[in-house]
Amino acid sequence: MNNEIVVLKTILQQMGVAGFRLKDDGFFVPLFDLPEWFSQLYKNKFTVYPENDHYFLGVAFPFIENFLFDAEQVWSKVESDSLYSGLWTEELQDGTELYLEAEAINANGQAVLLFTNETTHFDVRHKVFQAARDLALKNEQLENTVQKHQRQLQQQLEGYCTQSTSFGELTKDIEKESSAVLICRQDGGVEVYNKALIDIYSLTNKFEMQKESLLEKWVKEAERIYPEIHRVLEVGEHWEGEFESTDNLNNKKWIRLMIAPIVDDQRNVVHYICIANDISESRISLSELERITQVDANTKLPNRRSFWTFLSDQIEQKRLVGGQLGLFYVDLDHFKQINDNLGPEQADFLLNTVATRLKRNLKKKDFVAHLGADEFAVITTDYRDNDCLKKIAERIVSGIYREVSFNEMTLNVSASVGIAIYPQHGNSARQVVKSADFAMYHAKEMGRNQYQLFGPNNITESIPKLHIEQGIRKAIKNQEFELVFQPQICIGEKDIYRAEALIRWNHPTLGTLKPNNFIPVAEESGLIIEIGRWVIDEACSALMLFSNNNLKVKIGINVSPKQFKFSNIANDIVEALSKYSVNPSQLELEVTESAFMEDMDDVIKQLQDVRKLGVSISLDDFGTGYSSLSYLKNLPADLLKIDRSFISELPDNKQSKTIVDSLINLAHELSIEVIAEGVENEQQLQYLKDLGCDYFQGYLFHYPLHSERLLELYQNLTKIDAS
Amino acid sequence: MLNKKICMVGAFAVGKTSLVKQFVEGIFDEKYHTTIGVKIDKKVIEKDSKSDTVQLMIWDIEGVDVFTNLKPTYLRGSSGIILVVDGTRRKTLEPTEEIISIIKEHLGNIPIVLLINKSDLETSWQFQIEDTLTLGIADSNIFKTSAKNDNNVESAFERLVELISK
Repeated sequence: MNNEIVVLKTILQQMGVAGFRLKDDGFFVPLFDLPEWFSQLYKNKFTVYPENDHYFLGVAFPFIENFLFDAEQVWSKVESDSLYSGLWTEELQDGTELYLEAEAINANGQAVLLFTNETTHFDVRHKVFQAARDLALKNEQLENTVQKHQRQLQQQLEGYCTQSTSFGELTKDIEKESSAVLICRQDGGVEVYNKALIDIYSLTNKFEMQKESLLEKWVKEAERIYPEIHRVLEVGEHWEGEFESTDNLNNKKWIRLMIAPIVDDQRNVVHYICIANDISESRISLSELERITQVDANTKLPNRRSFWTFLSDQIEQKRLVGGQLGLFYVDLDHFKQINDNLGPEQADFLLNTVATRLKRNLKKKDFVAHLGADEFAVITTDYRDNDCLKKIAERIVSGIYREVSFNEMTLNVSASVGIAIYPQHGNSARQVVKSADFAMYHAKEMGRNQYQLFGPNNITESIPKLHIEQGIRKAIKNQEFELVFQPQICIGEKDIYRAEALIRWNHPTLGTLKPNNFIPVAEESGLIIEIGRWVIDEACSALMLFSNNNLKVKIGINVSPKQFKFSNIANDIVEALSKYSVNPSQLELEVTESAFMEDMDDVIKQLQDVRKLGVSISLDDFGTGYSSLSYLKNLPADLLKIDRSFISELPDNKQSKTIVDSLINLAHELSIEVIAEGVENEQQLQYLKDLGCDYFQGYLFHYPLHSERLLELYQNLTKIDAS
Repeated sequence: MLNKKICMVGAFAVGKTSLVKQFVEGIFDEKYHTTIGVKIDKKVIEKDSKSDTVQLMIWDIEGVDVFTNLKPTYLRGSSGIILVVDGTRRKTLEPTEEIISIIKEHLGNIPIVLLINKSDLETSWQFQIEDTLTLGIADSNIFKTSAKNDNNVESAFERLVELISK
């Protein structure tokens, strides 16, 4: 339980949340370590440093002082509830603007106040609103121009009507006028009209126009929103307005109409001058405006804003009438890499493809949203039980997991999906989303390209970034990292044992963490360089242990692309080999395809340098990224490791079989040996053996072992071999 | 020193933020940056005696449009209101009556100063001061302002301070 609390606290920190509890004495105290942005801001706003962790939030932030009145209502309720403050802006000392939102939560009687830093999402939100309001301003200008023109034209026509008795000249003058003109008698009888009027109403001749009084039609249509129009016209006053009208072909149009009555000396209406313009385009863009605030511009799916509205409404409805709903949080695997390497246009194309695949695999009733970047969400209310949800998740995963073809390459796209259910996994929209997000993270942890239903394990397995980043430095110093070794088996005869070194972090509070939990964070923060050096050193230390026990072992270590970019990997290796007197041929670098993406030539040169030392190179996770086999011949590789995602589908999946078959053949053609990762059953092993695969690694043989256990294993194997 | 909260309200893109920026920092930016949510600025108005000095807490509230209504909770505790319209856009008069009725409902009869902004473009104005009569704001509380030229900006704020200090 304590572990979960630690994790939850750090998750909130990672989300940029500053959390406070309102104490009985009226002071706010932090629920956990405050994020840096909040501490800075608070110092800027309130010079007195908080004593005993007592924060004067209302004094420091006038916006919050005001919000506390509404928050009190929430906190005084008997049942759990929450309230958002809306967005407000604060400034740091250097002028940096922070966009914040507060949430008052009544958590089982505890008064909680959360501050969320929305600065990173603000830009997108601002762009949408800016675009919407810019467009609205343009439409206003357009309407003003039309209005001005109509008024000028009306004045001209009024002058003509009062001075002339016939319309002969006028008919010619107005023929080319862009606004539609109709002059009619009080009973609607047509006197003069122009081509623009014929065009707007798709009329073919005068006879058609006379079938029904257009004036009468307009009045009927306009009175739906201008009920006063009858009265205004009856008393001979001028009228103007905008309303929806139907043309002769039954098309709906928005019309801006101005009607000016011409009266005689006795104030009797003798003519009506009607000037109309089709303003449908600006009206459409207005409705478009409303739409763009709800729809993602690229995928045309409902956006994050729309998603939250829909989810909150649905949950509110379920709360009132009962029922449940399922939320699927869908996150594409390795999207950042794709975006970085292929560029935004191709990434957009990929997102569009995924959006289409998602929609195709779901019912029309299901709500599909694009939350931004590589995140999608699906809400379903139409299901019987959890099994149904799992089936939907299977459809989502398998529907997305297909190749996407770009101009010059083909990419395997996959997604990890987390499922959460209202009300079991949260009684608010935010809580359900968090649960689904945890579950999705768990799916990633379990190897990606799969789904997970939310469960208590998800929380402990979702380790937040901040917690990791803070701990890594200490971890190296406190010797919390260790290497475990998974043997790589050769069925035939080889004179050397092989194993892959895998890093584990024995975290003081979170237990043993696997690389997926911390390596991405270490890569982002640059700490990977230090970890990478430690791995090289530790692997060489283990090799010395094996050598001292007369065992010839080769150890493969994983190397991050960042190590090629920001450190001198050859030097690090030379130092470690020399320190432990290890033969270079006992060390192998495992490099993923992504290492070559940024600066292929430089990485190849560095690998060649390493190879010159006598260290071998293996290409890791092959086939998962840019399946361009053409550059394989250019890489200084001794071994190729086929990714577990292909092996897991053997021997039933035809596509995986073809890929594995091709990879092994191609590698052998290039004199490169092949290791199959993730071999878990006899059928897979047999299939791979038949293809001539050189090495096998997986749970079928051994789980990762500590160096002492590996030593024991190899010593026993040596005895068997000898006997 | 007295602390007084005042709120800037009105339709979107009338120049509320520009007026605050001109009044507080003496800066004008030609580009239109729409406001989302609320931004609070402070400005001390010096008076002859220190006890009369007022610190204004100016709440610049997101403009009203089809997506955004005026949130009455933001008005809570206000001593006065600056209602802004754009002289070059008649449409910006449309939401004013409703805004005033929200203010009256939640704050009663508190001082309201009306700013008809963009006086630097007065030749292109689409309405006149007389068109604002229906709002029931006294002539002495209506100002033609320009955040761009700093025309009447300080006078308008000072008028509100005068009204709320009474």
